[in-house]
Amino acid sequence: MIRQSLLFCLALSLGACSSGGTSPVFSAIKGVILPSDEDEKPAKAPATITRARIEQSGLAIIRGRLEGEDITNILSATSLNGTYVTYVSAFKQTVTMNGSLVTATRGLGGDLLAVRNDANDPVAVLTPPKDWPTHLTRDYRFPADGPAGNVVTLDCALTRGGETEITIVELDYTVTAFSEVCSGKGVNFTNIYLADAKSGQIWQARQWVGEKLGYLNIEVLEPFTLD
Amino acid sequence: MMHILFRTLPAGLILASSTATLADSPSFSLYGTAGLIDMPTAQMLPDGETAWTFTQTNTMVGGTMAFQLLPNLETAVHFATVDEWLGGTLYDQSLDLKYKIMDENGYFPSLAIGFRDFLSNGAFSSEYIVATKNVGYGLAVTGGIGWGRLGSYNSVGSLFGSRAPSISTGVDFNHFFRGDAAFFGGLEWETPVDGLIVKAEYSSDAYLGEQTYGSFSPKSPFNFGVDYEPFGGISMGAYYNYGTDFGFRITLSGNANRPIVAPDLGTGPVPVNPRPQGYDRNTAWANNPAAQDAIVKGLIPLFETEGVVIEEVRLTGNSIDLYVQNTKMPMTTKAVGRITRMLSVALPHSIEVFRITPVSSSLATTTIEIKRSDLEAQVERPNAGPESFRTTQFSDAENTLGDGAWKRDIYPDFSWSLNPRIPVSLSSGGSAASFDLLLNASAGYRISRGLSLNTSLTQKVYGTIDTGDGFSDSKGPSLDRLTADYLFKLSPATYARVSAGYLDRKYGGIDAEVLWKPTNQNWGLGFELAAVQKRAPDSFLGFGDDQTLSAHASIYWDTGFHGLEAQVDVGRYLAGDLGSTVKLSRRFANGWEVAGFVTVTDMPFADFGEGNFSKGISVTIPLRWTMPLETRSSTSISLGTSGNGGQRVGVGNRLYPIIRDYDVLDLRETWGAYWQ
Repeated sequence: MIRQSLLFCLALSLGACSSGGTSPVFSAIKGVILPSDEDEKPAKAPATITRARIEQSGLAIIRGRLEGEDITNILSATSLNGTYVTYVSAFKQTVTMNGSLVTATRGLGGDLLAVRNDANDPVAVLTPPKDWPTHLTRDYRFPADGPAGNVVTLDCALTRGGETEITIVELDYTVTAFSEVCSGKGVNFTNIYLADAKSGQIWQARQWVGEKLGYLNIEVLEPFTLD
Repeated sequence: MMHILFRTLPAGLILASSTATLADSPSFSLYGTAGLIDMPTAQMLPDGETAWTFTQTNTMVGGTMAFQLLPNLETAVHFATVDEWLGGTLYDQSLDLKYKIMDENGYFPSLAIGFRDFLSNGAFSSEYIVATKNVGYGLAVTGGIGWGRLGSYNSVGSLFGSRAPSISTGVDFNHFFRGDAAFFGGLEWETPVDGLIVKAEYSSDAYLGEQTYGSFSPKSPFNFGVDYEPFGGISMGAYYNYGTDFGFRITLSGNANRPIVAPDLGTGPVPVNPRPQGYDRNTAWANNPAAQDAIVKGLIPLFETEGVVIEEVRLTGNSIDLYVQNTKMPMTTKAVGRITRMLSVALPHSIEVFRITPVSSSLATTTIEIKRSDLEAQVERPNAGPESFRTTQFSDAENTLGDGAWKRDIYPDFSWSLNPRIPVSLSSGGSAASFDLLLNASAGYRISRGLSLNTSLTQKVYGTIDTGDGFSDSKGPSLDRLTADYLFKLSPATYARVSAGYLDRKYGGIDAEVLWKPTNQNWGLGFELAAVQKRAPDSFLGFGDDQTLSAHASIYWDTGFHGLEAQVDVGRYLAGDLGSTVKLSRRFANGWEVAGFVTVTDMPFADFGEGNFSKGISVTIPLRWTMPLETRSSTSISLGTSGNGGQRVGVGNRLYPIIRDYDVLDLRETWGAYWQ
């Protein structure tokens, strides 16, 4: 018999379950709309950050927030590779910095794989504000097919602003403001740095970390040193 | 529960389906491809776009699965039911192709050449050359010339010779651009109302067949309509055609390149710290079995946090060989990267060489060798991606580490799963659409690595699909599979499988397969032999009288171009017909796959089923694309024909799909995830 059947098959995974547990879809939805008893445990009220606590920890610590998000998080230094310091949060998401330049993020939802900077990049290499260059280049690397990923090469122009006072967890700093306008390969963004007026240590920064994540605001609560 | 550091994740996002179509996506025609109403345009869907379209007019009920195979190549499988055709009902399937020759540039329009029903001179067969220009204010102007069906109204004559009547359903290319040609054109206006498009066209399709065989009587060549896209991923259209006909369209679309959830959302990898200068190079610990055991027992829970299961381990003073199963992460390279980092944290400093071998369905695949000092020198550095791939060695793995290695003691192992399924038939029994609600239960009992017993039962809960062969009539549960399976390797690059028992719903017997696929090679060769007997449709375990031998030689080729893979099978199918199946698929690094196949055999038209060949398309969408969690699960949707000819046993564990993600080309493609 001649059969003329056009089969349009949809394997529904939504309701599936197995010896390995319920389907990942079901589990995730349940996790969001039906929190488990464990999730319902009242979270400890976040400890107030004080200078004493920071110094007691003995760790390099930064505070990070994605622009447009309400949540600010604390990350502490956990590894050093060359001049690259990786900071990790309580949720195992990481931010890596070369000096004060954010060179990588992991787990935030739009990974920045790596950044190449010029040897005289004052964001990566501690440089007194009076010596900051006016132009520099960087290569931002993002995930894409192949080992090299997608490399975005940028030309950046640094403009010096005025001096101001800021306070970060009980400490006051006199800082020089810099804006950095970068462009290349269809990408344009403006970073902002508040650098110590004398040493050039960047205490606060707004840095672009990719088209998916946008800007990451960083505050340095305790800078990394090799001491 | 997923904890998010910076980004909050609304539950609605998790529940959302495929959304977020690009703003510059073109609108769809009644053929389910980029176009006006009945007429095509030179526009293309975004690369990687998949669109499912359902249409109804007074003359036709249709469905289309369209896929932008390459940035310049649009493909579609179009299904149509025409009630009045040659004294009966026409169930037509066609492969439609459109290639963009030139992008719109300055004063020049975009230019495309297209084929409807590319493989045969059937009811919808036509060819065209079309140009489209955006002229501003949201207005796009299209003009073109068509042949075949698109050259049937107000034709300007034949330019390249005569054309046979469009009644062929066999493979035929002789009709291209032959017969009468006619001009067509139209306008498309993107109104200021968000998502609303107004269209008007002059059609060159005279609907000659519908007039001749049916009662359709077009009164005008002009068609008018509106398209509305309430939100990304869903588009609808309503049309008034030929002065007499109303048409409706709904299209659902998604794109592999636009994940609903960011693929990198989750936890980061373990940070790596280099070994200190002058680290302890003493390897004496390796002679102590208790120390080795402690290391392995320490690694097991560490790896479990990333969904990695250790199958085998061999430790020496300066190296570790690991056979692992990645149960969670969609990308093997991401799992390998995280394993490498964890090893660098957990292992004695004297261990310099990490050899990691992913195991897939009991088969050891490619051994990935990474030097710890390379990892330490590369991590977080700007060129870590390309440098790490350059310094990593890849080789074909032995199937086991052999005697003396630590082996996971889990056998025997029992597993099961329960899945609902809803097959939909678009033309079964002559009705436009019918569906079943099925409950499928599967179970596996692994006796040792490679040797297992597997079964699958399906119970129809509700349904009306009639496949016409008696197998769809069963009221009780049907036994879809009851097999003993043995998967093993004949050599590091040669995989093998033997399956015996009830192989699928229709056949039982023995099916054996061998696949030669070196990891450093982008092609492989396979051979499969099945000695089977047809099962009785009305019996749970009984067999019929038909016995047959089916054999196929296969070549697999990963082109390395836009993720395109080709597979050609040549041999003897179950009905004794000789022929070949060509399968082309595009696989994305994130796990999306869109595949199409065509089978041509020597079976006569009348016996084969629809046409002299069968064809189909399938889309596989990884759940990670829609969900913020690491999972290797996926959902598949398939659309195709099933005639008597060109059929093979429905073996569920063929070798190439098991191992294809693990060769060097695939690992290279996804190597960016190694550092993630």
